[in-house]
Amino acid sequence: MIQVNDLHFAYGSNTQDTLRGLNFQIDDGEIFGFLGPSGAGKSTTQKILIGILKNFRGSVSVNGLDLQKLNSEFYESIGVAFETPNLYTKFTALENLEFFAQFYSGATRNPMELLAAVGLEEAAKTRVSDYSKGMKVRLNFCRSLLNNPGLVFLDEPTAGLDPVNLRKMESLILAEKARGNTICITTHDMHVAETLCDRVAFIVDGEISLIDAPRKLKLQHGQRFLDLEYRDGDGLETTSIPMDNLGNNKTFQNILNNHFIETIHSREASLEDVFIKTTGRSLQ
Amino acid sequence: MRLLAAMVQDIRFQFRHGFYYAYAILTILYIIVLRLLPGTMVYPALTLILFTDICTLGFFFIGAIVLLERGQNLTESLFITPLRLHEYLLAKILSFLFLATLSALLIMLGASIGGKDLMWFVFGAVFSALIYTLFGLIFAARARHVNDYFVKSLGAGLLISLPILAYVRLFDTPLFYLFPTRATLILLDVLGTDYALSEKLFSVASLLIWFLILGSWVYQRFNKYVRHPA
Repeated sequence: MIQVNDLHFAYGSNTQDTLRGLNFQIDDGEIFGFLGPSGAGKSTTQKILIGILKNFRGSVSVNGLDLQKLNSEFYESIGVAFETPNLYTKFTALENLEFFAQFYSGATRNPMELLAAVGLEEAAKTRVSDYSKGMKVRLNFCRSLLNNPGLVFLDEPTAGLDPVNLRKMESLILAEKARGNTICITTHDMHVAETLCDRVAFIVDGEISLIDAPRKLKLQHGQRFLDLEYRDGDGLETTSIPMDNLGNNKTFQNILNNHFIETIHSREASLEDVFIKTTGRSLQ
Repeated sequence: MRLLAAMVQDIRFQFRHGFYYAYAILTILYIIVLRLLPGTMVYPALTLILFTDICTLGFFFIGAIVLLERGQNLTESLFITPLRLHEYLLAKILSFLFLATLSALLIMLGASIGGKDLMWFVFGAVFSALIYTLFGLIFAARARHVNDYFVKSLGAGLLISLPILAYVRLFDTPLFYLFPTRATLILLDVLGTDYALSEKLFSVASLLIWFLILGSWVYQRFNKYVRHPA
């Protein structure tokens, strides 16, 4: 669905490229994440994919359309939620959604149903200026889905959300995937990338160092050990046991049979560990 | 449909940001001034008032509208919909034209002013509003905030208003015929002064040419700095 080859981009008269030779492909129906620290080039990449930034070098096609030959029809089938909520602040949430819905020629989703899905139905008639940051993020998400897009771009979709709404947002994004839609997320939140993305691209200083499935990366970069905490009399003991041939491991069997186990964890790497190991940079 | 939706939204946006209240107060003020003036001064005063109302205010208010939009990051969200750039610009221009023309007509009605050359006058009022709106948009395309806009546009605003010196008989030069303001002042003045047909036709042609030049310039600037900023 999205094919990018040797993408370079420089802002204005900058001599140094912000994006330096990106290559990736995003398949139909997958959630693809760009994971990287602020200023890495995630949002710039997204702005190129949605046709805002021109004058890039390399080739970019979205839904088979060469982005150098883009026209406004393109926007009938994509949805975008920017990191900074961009809404009419002196209008209510419902007025905002009803206004934007008028631009699409195809059927649009019911604004009230969208607002209800993100828990804003009771604030539908409240002006956006009275919304909190998290409410604006949720409303922004609703706007991106108005035209029933097959391809959705979400820039930091969970920024500013409390834990309850964070989980709600995650389940809504997964619901979009279940409808067969393709979702492209940019985030610096490792948890979001781990929970939602089928594949992630690590991006630092305008370069992609790695693209793979989070689960595969965590296993590849982890160690095949189990870490246990268990009670031995009054004391708390810890031990690590190789996972290979675990069923025949005498120590493991002894702990299982004779001790009270408090915690047991496999030692796969966290996505952040993999990120730091691969790029030499942290996500903050 | 998209154009109509955008235009209606722009009118509502201007209303909610208080532009209609500001215009209502100014319109009432102008009507009171015109009614208090002695008969011989009404028409020259009307020309200057409408020049200020339609042109100068339009020039500054359209900038304020665009910057208010930018402050709410609205252009980004509008241009990731099927809305075309020309529809966005037309909606803005037509909505503001509606406000300026409404104000001009109310001033005329309120001050009980009319005459045989009304059509020339109305054309002048509408196209002058259009041209000064376009001038405002040229500067608004790159301005980041209101102060920036005023600083950048003030010099140009004063420069294109120079033909007003000829209108108040302080200084005149044939070069003023190159300015859109000359045509504006002639057409806004037709109700109280007799102008030759050639002069009125020249004014109409001048405003049309300025409209085409500025319209295309605004489109290019918005395409470069607002639609595809980099």
